[in-house]
Amino acid sequence: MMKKIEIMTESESMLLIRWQSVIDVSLNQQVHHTAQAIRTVFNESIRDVIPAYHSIAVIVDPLETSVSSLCDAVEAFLLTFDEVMIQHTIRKLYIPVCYEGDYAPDMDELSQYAQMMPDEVVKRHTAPDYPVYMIGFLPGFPYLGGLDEKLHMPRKERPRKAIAAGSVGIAGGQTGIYPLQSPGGWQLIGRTPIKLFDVAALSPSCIHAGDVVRFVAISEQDYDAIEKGKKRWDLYTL
Amino acid sequence: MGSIHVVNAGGMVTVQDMGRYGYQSLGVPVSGAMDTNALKIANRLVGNDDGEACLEFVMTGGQYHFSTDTAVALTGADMDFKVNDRTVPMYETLYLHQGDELTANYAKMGVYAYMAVSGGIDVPKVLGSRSTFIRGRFGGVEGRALRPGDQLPLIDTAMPKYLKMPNSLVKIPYEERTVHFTPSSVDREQCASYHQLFQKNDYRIDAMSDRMGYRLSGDAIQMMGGNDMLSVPVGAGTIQLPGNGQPIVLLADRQTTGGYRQLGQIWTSDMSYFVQQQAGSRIRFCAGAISAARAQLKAYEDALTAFFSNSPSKKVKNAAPKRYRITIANKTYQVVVQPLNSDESIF
Repeated sequence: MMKKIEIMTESESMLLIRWQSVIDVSLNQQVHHTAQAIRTVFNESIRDVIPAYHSIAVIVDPLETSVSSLCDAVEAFLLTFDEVMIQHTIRKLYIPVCYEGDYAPDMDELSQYAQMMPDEVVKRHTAPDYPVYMIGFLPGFPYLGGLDEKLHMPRKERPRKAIAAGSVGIAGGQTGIYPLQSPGGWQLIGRTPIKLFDVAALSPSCIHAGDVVRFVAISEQDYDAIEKGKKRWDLYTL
Repeated sequence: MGSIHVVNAGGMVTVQDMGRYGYQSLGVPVSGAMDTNALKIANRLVGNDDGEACLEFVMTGGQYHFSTDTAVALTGADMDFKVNDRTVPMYETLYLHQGDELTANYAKMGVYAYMAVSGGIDVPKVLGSRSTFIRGRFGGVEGRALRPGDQLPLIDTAMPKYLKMPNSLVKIPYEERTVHFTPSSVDREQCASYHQLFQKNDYRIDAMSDRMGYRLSGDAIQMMGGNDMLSVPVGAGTIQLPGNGQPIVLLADRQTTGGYRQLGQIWTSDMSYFVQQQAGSRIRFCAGAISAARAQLKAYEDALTAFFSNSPSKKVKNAAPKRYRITIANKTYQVVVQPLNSDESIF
């Protein structure tokens, strides 16, 4: 049996599975493996599965499925579900980011705030393996953990009306990438030429919850070449 | 293949269906009709499957030209619908002719109106749905609201039989009533007093409300220990309580997760009534159990199903009109002959 969890019916269409309320990589991995297993096993009777940091919602059509019967079935399943049995490898994605010029409109502000040179900001931002705790806020938007404490900076007081797709930003203790153009208040320190969310793609979001992301600094020339398809970028190997 | 030509579109007219499920783990909102019940009924009245794509009008409708003979049904908000300048009824099958023009005006009652067209609107499916998601710029017509000049292709199908919903099944917000919700199961005991306050308060729907969510304004509810928490999944009808103590109810274009504490979830069967309340409307809430929520939903669905499966099959044979040219005294007239049901209005 897994770490202590609660399974509760939230409404006639939502079942909620909750772990302890903490941000923790191994707990979060368990969340995603459980979500995947539920999606596979209960595929016929559910509409959607939404995993987050420490919880999973299972969504049903209340006219088709009784959420209380499903609750019993999921509970029974999780009692026997041994997540160690599932062979899972953690995907690691290398995301190219240009931290220069127009692609980094808030770099000067952040480097002043953090009291370090832009080079040092880039060094610290490209150093960690960021775990993807969940995808939310916007289609394909990754909630990443593990930002260097020296790079923490509050959101902008006046959010921008439009942030370009691919923008890499910092908000408080979080870092993330805007997969689509959107309004937003994040401090923008770079941009990736990779299209992270594409409704026409077989798998619409490049990044999945449970992955690990690493940022790789590229020049403006490389940004241009990758964006125009003149240079190939392999997301999975450096 | 027939189509609808958009002569004029209201402020926020979009193509919607029952929503885009299966991609919320990738942060893709469900979208779809705000009043899924009204969309479903509109589809059934023209012989479509429940989830065919319809037009959703928000507060104002617009003007639409039909290039083909077809059948439509209008449900939800009353927008004083007219065909060729004559008022037409809602909640029944309407037979339109090639060249007809349908207009929808300002909502006299309700917010969201639906127009289903026999066969459905044939825009490409994106991630399994034709629903428009404007922030994501996908679905519907190029991921945006309709504009004058747009052409909406229709899926070819046979003319449906004539149906008219009895008033008893029409869920239009005529009378003020309470909206039921299921209190959140998270820390239910500790939160009981907030659930009590939520039921005591008189709320008004704030003008800052849209397809993403409705803001409520009333006496602020202050929560002990702050209002933020680790982001959790949310659903249609989730009631969030941000730091200012004024609840927000999440709706069709909601994000998939939220970091505000939650008071509960509005019953699916009360969502239709709730979303159709205009800004400024007074709302009161009442707690109820999940079993009761499901029972109420099923009872209504059973009544609907009984109506649609038992309606006398007054099939309008060859409902497409026959047109004749008649010349009398050197003037040529067009005469249109179409079989009518005994209770069908002539416009």
